[in-house]
Amino acid sequence: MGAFIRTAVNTIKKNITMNIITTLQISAVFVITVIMVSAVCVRYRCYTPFRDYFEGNGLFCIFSVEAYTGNIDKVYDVIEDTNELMSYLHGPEKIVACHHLSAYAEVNDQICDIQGLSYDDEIIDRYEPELSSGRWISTDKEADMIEAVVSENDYGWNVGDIIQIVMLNTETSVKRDVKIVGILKENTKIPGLFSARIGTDTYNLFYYPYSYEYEGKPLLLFSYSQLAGLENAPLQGIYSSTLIRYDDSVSAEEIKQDQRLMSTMGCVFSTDLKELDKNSKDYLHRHIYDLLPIIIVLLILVVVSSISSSALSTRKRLRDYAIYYVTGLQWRQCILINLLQSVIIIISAFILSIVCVAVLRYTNLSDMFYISWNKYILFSFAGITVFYIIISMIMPLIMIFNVTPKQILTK
Amino acid sequence: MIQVKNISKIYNKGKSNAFQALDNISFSVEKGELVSIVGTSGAGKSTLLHILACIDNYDAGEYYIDNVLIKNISEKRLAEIRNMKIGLVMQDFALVDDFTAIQNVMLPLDFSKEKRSDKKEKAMAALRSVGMDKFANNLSNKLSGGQKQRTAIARAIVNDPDVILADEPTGALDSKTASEIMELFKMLHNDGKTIIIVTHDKEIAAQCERIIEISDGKIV
Repeated sequence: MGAFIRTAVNTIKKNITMNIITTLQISAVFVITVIMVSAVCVRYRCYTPFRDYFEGNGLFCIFSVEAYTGNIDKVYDVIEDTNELMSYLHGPEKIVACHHLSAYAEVNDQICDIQGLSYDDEIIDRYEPELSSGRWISTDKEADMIEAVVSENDYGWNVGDIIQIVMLNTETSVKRDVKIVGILKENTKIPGLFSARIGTDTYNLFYYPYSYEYEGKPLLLFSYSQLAGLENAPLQGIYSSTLIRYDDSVSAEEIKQDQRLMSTMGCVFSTDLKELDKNSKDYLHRHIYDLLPIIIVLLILVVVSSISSSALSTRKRLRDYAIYYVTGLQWRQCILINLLQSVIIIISAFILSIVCVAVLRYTNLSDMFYISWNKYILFSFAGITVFYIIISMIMPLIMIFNVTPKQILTK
Repeated sequence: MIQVKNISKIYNKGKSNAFQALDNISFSVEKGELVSIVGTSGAGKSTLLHILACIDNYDAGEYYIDNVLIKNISEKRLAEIRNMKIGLVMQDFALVDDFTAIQNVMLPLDFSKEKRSDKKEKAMAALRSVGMDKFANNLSNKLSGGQKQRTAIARAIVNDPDVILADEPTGALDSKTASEIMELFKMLHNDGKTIIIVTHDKEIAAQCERIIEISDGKIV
């Protein structure tokens, strides 16, 4: 096999200009594929973790702390625990919610405004926002310290830092040590807060792209269960994104009754999940349909260029293959040399595309393109590789098996 | 060494333009002989040589090389025979243009299991025997006609084959260079090599020990 690889490499070197162009072409296809698949995946990334909720019978609700009551004296009559909310409704199966944390930070004895959110364990387990460093919060109730993930900030807070956060409940405020375990990437989507309703309602309502630069104050994300287990636990009212799942046996009328009830309990918006899911799927599929013409054009380009470049290359190499045959190779082994050339070219293109994607990802160009690495990218790469190898072997196979070495040498 | 018994070859068999290139050819070549096959253009001598070189098949008869019958054998076995038992020299030299002389000579060795350093030594030895060692690293498309043919002969002998077959080896050379190439073949013959040269040139043929004349696909 070493001899075949060496022969394939030598043959590639002989036609270096054309092979470099082919390599660049395939590499461009890889890079564009990464960008397109990433663009599709980023949308599914936010839909998939809660897909079973979206597809089920239920409601998406938005709770607002300010709307629990217009009376400032009763502002603390909030619902914290989802079990408590469930007790008011027509037997929902499950509720997952975000919670508002009344808190502020103390930095160098100065009071600093922060935005505090906590999540039910199920949200933490199902979805992890993009982090620029560190890790996501855990649902480990035995953790030795309160964990938080923080957004970009001007306080110099970094992974591993212990900061002082004053957390409030209805009666008291307690200063607590909080360990920063991760830093959110700027503009990453986090569950909760209030997304603007643009066009039809989709799963995007569940998320909010948090920008420290825009908001002006750092966001801290906590585990609801970790905070709820503390002595003098802080107040964590159900707030913003809330998903309520009902059994299929609960009727639409009963659900409407629950909607009316919750509107008196701080819920400022609610919508049927089935409608939300339909809109979500339309939104996701529309994106794929928008990309489909590009994918088709790319594939056509790959096919045409693969066939023509491999045909040209094989035609030039036929005489060499005849010489290899005369000196002791089997005619079909020349196919192997041709195949190895295609494999070497695609490996080179793959390496080059990895470098390009790394440059895109880790430089300012990443502001223009979202790049994610996941199994769908790998499947796409594998698909393109197999497709290219098959297409690039069609003409050589036809040409090599339609002629004999003797015919080539005696021409 | 080589036995040809009643070999026939028909091109486009079964079609309206069927053509009998060889008709019942029989001869043998002993080990160490220098034989020429002569004939006019279209007589069938190249067809015969291609059959002897195992790059073409035949329709009837039997062909033995070193007592091995070349009929209905696997592609793999045929490739081994071409690699180890036969050295082929062609009129247009059949060198890979962008390879150096030594790379061309190493081609028959490339697909064997020997160590690369041993292969290079063997190739250099072959080039040395034909006076081409100084041009080992020259690209073959930069060599003269005579140098190319010497390189082709070095490639033909690098695996120490049982027989060397040459198809019009001097056809593309001037008379002086042609003489040099024939001297080379005679030198190899003196070293014990079995050589069969196909030529239309009677002067070249006269320098061989035995002449087999072919006309219209038959031995005259």
